[in-house]
Amino acid sequence: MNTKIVKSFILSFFVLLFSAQSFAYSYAAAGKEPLIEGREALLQALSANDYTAVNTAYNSMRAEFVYFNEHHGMNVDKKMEIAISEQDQQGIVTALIMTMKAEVMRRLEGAEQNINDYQVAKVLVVKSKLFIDLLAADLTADNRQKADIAIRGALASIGNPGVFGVGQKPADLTSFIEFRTALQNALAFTLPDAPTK
Amino acid sequence: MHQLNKPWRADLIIGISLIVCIAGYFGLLNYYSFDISSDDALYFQRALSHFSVLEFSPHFPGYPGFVWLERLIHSVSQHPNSNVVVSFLSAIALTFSVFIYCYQRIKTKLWALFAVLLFLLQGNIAELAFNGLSDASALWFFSLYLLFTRFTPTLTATNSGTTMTSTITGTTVAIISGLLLALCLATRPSYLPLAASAMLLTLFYPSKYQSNYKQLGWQIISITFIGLICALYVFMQDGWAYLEEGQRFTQGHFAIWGNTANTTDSLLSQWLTALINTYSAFGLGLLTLILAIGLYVTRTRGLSILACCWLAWIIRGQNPENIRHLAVFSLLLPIISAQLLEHFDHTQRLRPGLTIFSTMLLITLGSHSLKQFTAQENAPVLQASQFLNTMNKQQLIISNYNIDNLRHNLPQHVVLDRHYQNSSNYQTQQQGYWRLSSNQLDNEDLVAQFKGRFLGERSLYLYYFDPYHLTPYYLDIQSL
Repeated sequence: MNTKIVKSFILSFFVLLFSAQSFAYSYAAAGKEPLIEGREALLQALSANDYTAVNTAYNSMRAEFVYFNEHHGMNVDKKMEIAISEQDQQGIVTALIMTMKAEVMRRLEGAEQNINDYQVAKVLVVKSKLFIDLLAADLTADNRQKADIAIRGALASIGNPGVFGVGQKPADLTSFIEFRTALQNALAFTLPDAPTK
Repeated sequence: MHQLNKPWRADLIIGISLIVCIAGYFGLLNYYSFDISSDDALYFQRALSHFSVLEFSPHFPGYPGFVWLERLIHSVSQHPNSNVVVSFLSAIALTFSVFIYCYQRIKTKLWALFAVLLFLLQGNIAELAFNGLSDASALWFFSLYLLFTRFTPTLTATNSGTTMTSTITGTTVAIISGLLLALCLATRPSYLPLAASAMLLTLFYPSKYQSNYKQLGWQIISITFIGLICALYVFMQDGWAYLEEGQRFTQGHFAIWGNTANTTDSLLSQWLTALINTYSAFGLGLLTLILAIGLYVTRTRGLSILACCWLAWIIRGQNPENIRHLAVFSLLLPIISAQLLEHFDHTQRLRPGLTIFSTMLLITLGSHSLKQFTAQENAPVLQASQFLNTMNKQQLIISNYNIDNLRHNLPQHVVLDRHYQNSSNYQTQQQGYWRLSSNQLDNEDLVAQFKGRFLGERSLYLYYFDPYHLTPYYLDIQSL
């Protein structure tokens, strides 16, 4: 009996030893975001003054820049390409910051259009917070706090789906638009084709 | 197993001693303030008013059991950091569990007090009480499950008197123990390996009341029931997006593993270091000896196997930088030690040796544990925040630890995540910046050190760099 127990548990011991790793750590990745990863590579290249690497980094996220040109009439891809060719550091950083702000507002706009599809709306707003955190150094303290309040408010305005109607909170489009506008003001950025109130 | 023929005075003395031990230890711990000391604890605090895994309130998987507990405590205490109050109360409850478990199963009741002392003298108990996380609470539920479970052959069970299980039917016991395991998992899902190994282990110890498989079946039904309630609660807040967040979060852990690590050693050697830090090399030697003997003695074999399973699990899949993962040992080892020592205590000629051994164990762990305490009342991140809050002008702070806490405490400053190292470096090209680190940087002049208050609470080190990273900039703190 005892031998049987020991044998079984030696087996279990090894099963546990080679089981999959847990996920109980306190840090979560940003997820695959070409603009965030590209930004890292681009700023590293800029620090080293290596414009070949700057170009490579830009190419890894070029699609994002092109998107804003094609869908929102922003000229960020052209601005970026000109700045790179002229080795204009300030121009490169400005185009990058503008694209990041656009990324935030595009997601908020997407959430607004999908306000009744809770899952889509919520994920879009949550993910936009990643970009706001990275923009921290480019905002005043006052605007950082305003942006934070606006994001929280926008998330609350989306409501939640509940389960079989239990705990359901309907979305509030009017309040969402107010917070979206507040965020535009905090970032001092508006998409060229942003919906007016 | 309470023996009725014993004089009540002995019980009274033991009871009073227990209260003195617990009140003394936790009363002294009250010197420290109930601060939010980590980002995870901050996420739990956020969950007090608003639960959403997507919004990191708290982070995945959500720990609904713990959130309900902290809300319950908040409704009574109104403490803003109710999660820390919960972990503190859970640590106290856990001490009682250790005592009751030993008291029920040991003839010489003094050894139950020994178990309590040994539990309290471990270096990581203070951290367990103050971390504001779910470890202590989940472990308390697990300890209650242990009180309902017998990891000893039934033959000896009948000799050892009565337990609470003798007055209720087998099905009820199975359901209650299943519910306790379920609450343990609802509070801390990553205790699944512990719960699973305990459930498997009970299969090998025939129950007095009903077939083991029937018992296991009832336990699984209970766990499923509570699991469904938790799933409904989580989905009520986040819907199907919860699953997407789970996938993202899990992948993130793998991608970011080691972000705050400052060593490239293998997990095994890192855990060995963590164990030595917690128990001291000599203390660890003594406890390993106890565990090894515990595996051979029938009475302690069950719990010793559980401890080994947990060791296998953490070596394979837990972060060695968080010594709170050793909490399972903190619960099991004192119990195993007390049961073993009492077991050998019946042999007259071993008694002097046992007295020396047990005293040595208490002194070793106690002295090592005491050395870890520092005089700071506040958590390192709060000490750092108070320091940086003295500056009116906006500062740039780069940290590899406690980012969200710093952002929360220092809204007037720019806090950048060291994880995004390249962009942080670029942004500091034109201006001086503060660097807060959870590990000491080589060849840099330290501006301030914010010491951890006890073992397991990481100290934070503050540096200042000028734009060209050539010479540290010495600040006249008085002028700020």
